[in-house]
Amino acid sequence: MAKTCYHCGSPSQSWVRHDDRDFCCEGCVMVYDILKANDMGTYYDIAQAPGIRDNKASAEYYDYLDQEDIKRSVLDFYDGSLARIKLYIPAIHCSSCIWLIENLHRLHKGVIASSVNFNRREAAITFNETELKLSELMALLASINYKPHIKTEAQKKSVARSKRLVIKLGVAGFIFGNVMLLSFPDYLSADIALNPGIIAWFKWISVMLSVPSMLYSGNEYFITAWKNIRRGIVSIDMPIALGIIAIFTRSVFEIITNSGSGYLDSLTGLIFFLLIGKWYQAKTYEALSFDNDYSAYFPLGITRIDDKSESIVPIADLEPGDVIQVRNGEIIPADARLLSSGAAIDYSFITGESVPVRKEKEELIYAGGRVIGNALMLAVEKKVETGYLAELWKERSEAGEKESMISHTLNVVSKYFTLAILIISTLTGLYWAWHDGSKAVLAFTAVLIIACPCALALSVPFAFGHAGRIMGKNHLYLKLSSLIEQLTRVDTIVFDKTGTLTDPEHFDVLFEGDKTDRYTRSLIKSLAHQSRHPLSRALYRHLEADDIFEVFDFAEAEGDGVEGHIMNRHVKLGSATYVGAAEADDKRSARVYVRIDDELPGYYTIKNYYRPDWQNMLASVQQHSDVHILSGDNDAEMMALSEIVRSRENIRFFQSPKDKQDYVAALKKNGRVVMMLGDGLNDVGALKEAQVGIAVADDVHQFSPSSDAIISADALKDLPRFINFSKAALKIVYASIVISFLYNVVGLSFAVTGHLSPLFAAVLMPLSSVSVVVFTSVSVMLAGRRRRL
Amino acid sequence: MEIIILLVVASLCVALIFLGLFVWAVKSGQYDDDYAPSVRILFDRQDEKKKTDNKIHNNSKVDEQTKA
Repeated sequence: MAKTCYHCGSPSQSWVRHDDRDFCCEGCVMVYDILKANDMGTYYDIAQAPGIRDNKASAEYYDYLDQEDIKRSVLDFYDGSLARIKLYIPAIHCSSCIWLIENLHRLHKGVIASSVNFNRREAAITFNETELKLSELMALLASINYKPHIKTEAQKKSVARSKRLVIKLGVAGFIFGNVMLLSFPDYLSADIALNPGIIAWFKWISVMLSVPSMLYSGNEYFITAWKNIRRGIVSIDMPIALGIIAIFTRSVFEIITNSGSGYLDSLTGLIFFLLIGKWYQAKTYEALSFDNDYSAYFPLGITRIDDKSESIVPIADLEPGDVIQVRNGEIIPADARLLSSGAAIDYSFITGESVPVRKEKEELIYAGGRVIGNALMLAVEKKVETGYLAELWKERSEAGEKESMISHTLNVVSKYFTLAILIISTLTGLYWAWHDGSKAVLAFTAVLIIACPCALALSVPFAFGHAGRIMGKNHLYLKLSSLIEQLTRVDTIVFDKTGTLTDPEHFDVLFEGDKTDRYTRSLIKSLAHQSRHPLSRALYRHLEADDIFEVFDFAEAEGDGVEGHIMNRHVKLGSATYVGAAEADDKRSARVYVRIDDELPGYYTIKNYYRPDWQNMLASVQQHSDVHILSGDNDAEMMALSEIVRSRENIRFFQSPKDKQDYVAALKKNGRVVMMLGDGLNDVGALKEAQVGIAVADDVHQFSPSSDAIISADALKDLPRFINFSKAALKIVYASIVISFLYNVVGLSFAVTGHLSPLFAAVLMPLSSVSVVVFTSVSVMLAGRRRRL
Repeated sequence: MEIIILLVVASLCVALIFLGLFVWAVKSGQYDDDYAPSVRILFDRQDEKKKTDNKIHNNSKVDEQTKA
């Protein structure tokens, strides 16, 4: 078996031997030591190598949380000492994690109790604020590599909504069961029937039970139907609401006049089925958040410096002219002017450019850049919510309003359906009023009852709901399952390059120059190890030398390079000018030049690393749709991309976030249905603009830009299959619409002629619903299997 | 025969109690997490066990040596 880290289980090229075990990095050793010192070795007994590898969080990063007003806004409960907070911890992934977080009180006595909600990746922690400050609690979690996040408002809301639906469903089921039982004696033949007096009692109890089923469980159908009528839209809710009212009034009328037994069992059953459909479709991924806005990426507070006193203020309070300090690894929250002498800013978040950008004094820096190296002083130019990035988020053309809440097909169908039903029922009523007045009302309501499009309304939730689950199992997570219909209409697919087609964590590293020996490589690796610059990290990971030497006099020139003395040799890594080498002609790909004492052995070319199978995936989606590639990066990769993409016109480089958004908007203007795939904040505008915006994430539980769906990077290669599958799902919806129409035609032919027998109606209504549910679920499942999903 | 009506009303009341319990269970969050409770029940309580049980096992020898 290959050697893996005892803590996190990841393979590694360099090993840290500690306590008779192998670890991949110092970070893992640190967590191991913390746990060991607190007698918490059980962590490693519950699951194999349960740890998380990450070593970036620093304690001061959370300082802003100790500001009184910020603290009060994020804590769920706080009485001066006792505090309670719910934190979103995406790193929770196994039973060991649950154990560790629920035993936090052993790591720090300030923690009183903690409990984990695994589905939501959430920890509810009660702690004593006087012993353990909120910032310290956050830092404590970060120190054991469970990086906590403050929950966003949207995350809090979705929970309450799903609970209400479950309760409604429970009430509807309860009423359905009881009404079924109470109407049972009605179906008995005359020789064993109960005393009619008792049956009358049962009927009245049923009426009383049906009222809450309609008004509480089924209230949304009335509300949406009414809203839509006022807005002049005909939706599927309208015939449903009409049907429910018709069934109920007709049943009450029959019971009062003692002319029949009513359809209350069917009524309550239909409401129950409809709610099951709603609940099935509404199944959301609680642990994922699709609606992150820019504030999810920004710190809540920032250090402001006025008259030499420092204070931490919420970023919303920043005013133009304020001087702020942003430390290493923090994100600049507002568009600002640089006051410090020079800085390296990592814009990978915004532009997708993997290499940090050098900024000089007095230059304007856009919000969203991450500071690398020394802390910077900045003068705020714009308020946070009017900054470049925030504007991008807000901007959304009117046409961009997505009608994804309800299925488009269903809307079109139900529009004609509703009109047809209204016309048929009126004509029937008029006909009978003319010929046989006594039958007019009965025939009129019979049409409304039998035409209640419950089967129709169930087809979409079950087909798309089930398809959405199958996609979720394959790591494409849809915000709304009705998005499947949008997927089928996509004819243009726009990819971001960096982070989407390429893997941001890996690089292809090539050395050009004299042959180097193992020793030289060790020197380079040792120096690269000292720096957190992405290129250094790529180099460090690429070099296979075993020995790491100690580095003396280490110095890093921001954005230029690093130097140090290793084994009495002076080693420099960095740009051509920094090391004093001749620049190569082709400047497009990132280069790291090497200087050892006075020798210049050559340089490393560091290229993007494409995700496995990307060529097949692109070629495959290109068969049905146009492929475009937008990149914030330089055009070094033109050759590789133009081999795959049909038209060179469709590949654009040096695209700013705004350019990307405009590009998608232009495509839409030409009548295209656009799917955008992107990974970073730089794609946010484009993701929102596109009809289908899919965020690509290496870890779906980490924050990703707001989007309609999140796809795990590993599943990207299955994109053609997902599109194909959604097309199959739509066909199944069409088929089930035809089936429910057939039921309606049969039922209506009886209703219109005034021959609808109560028993026939009572059987037909649930039968049509159940058969549509079974048909859609089974065929979607088979369609998924056939595509190996 | 009226006894049947009484029985139906009584059984409905019992059923209503269960419905109430269901609503309470949903609202108090018992359906929120279907994974953690199944694992949690298997965890040993630290204070009920001897401390040594929870040590990281196979380096107990190293520990003793360093102490010595």
